[in-house]
Amino acid sequence: MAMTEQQNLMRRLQVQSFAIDDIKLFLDTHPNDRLAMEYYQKYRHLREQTMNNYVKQFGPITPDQVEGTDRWTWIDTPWPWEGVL
Amino acid sequence: MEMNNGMPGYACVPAVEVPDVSAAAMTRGETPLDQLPLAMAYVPMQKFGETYDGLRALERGTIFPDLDLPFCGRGVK
Repeated sequence: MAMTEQQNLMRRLQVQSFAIDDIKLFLDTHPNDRLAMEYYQKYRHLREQTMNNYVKQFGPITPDQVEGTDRWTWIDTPWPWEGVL
Repeated sequence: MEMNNGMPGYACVPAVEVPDVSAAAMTRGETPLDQLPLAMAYVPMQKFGETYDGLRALERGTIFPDLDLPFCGRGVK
């Protein structure tokens, strides 16, 4: 079954978040490793882009991503236990 | 030589002569384990090397092929 755009973005977020978590563990013991730092910054940037893209199209993933003063949009999207993604 | 690293009453364990074992011998399972001192673990420092692409890393549980070492409960040839 083809992934929806939303599922696709969420999967990319998971992939990029995992890469960041793992390189952080490496950096904890190799804080001056230049290649590892480049890897970290690359994925941090990618994740930021994916996150902005997702939030703009499909709403906040965490409550602190609710923008503006019009409406508390946090309640507009399904709850995690509703199993939409 | 001062053998006490700030632990009052406890001298450091004297260094034990570790038998010289080649990497090749270790790979063949010829490590003389009974000649090594008890309770000493050895963890080589990882070097930043090859990385998996993102999706594969998520599937394998690590971004490093070097650390992708599934335990199969038996020797792997």
